Amino acid sequence: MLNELACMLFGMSCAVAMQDCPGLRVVDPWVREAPPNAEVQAGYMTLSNENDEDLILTSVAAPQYANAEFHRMWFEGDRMRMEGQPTLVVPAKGQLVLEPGGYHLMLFKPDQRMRAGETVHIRLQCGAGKKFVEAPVRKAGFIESAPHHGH
Amino acid sequence: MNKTFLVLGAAALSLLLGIAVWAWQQSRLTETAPAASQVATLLPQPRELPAFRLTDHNGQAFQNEQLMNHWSLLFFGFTRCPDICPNTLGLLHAVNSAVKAENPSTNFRVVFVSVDPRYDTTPVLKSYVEYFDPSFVAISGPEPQLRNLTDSLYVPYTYVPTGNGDEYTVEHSGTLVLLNPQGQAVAYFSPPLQLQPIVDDLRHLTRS
Repeated sequence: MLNELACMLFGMSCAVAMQDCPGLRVVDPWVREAPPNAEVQAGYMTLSNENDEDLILTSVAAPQYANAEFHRMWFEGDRMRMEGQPTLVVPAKGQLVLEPGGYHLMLFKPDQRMRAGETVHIRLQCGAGKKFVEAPVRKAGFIESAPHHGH
Repeated sequence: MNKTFLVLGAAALSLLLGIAVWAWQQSRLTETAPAASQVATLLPQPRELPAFRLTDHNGQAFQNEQLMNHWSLLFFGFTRCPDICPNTLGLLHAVNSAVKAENPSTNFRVVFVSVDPRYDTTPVLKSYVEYFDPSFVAISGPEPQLRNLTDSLYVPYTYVPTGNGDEYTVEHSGTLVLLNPQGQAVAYFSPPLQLQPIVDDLRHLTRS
């Protein structure tokens, strides 16, 4: 907040101040190509936290879509359940994997159909900091879910 | 001491008994393990479906008689499901391709049953399902008809409000149901689904 204020008031170099979620690394972000007219798409990536403390992602935004949220999908027996998550916690010195059949970004109502090869712009918010992510759209077939990570 | 001998004897006896039971179970397992099924749960008897009347993605009526003369693998979902449905339909495309590569004249097909008929109208279903595989059939219909089918197959679904206006999501089963060419349910595949075991099971199950 102070950083942003400083940027606005003094025209300081803001790229660093506003783009940083210190210690957060994003690996292999991608968005699944959706059928024509599809209202929703899922985004995936691996989030690593190099800090000694948990890192909390407080919101996500994607300007090419009407809305973006964190979601988690899981099976209860053979029943598929899905729930919006107000925040995502990347554990200290650990990872949170967003992947098919687990945590993912939910992208609602694209302004126009996003096809394989195009780029989705995503902004992750960690308190006052921001992390900009460019996620390519991929046409994906079946992805076998990995053995389960702890939640 | 007599007591010690008694205890030792009992221990030895129960050990022997344990080994005998284990050996017997092992022999039974190898004798009766069906080679046909790795992952499918087979019903002891094929189960008849009640009469239902739904509509396919081309706007044609889809009822019990449309199940005749095909092996149908049913998956239940909805088009606004961003994660598990596209992934499972991707899997089913791979299954379908593998089954047809092995046996080009097979009467096997995949049927996607939308459990969100309010949103998944015929044109929505058409563009959705054809994106994954042009040979897929997608069906849906008004709730009583749809419930009739899903209840009889023990495939539950529930509408869950998202808390955002009157928007809702659909929680549903991730199970696949195999129907025989008489339109009867014969086997279930439960998640997590894996490609090769399903293809192997279908090879045996659809041979008859």
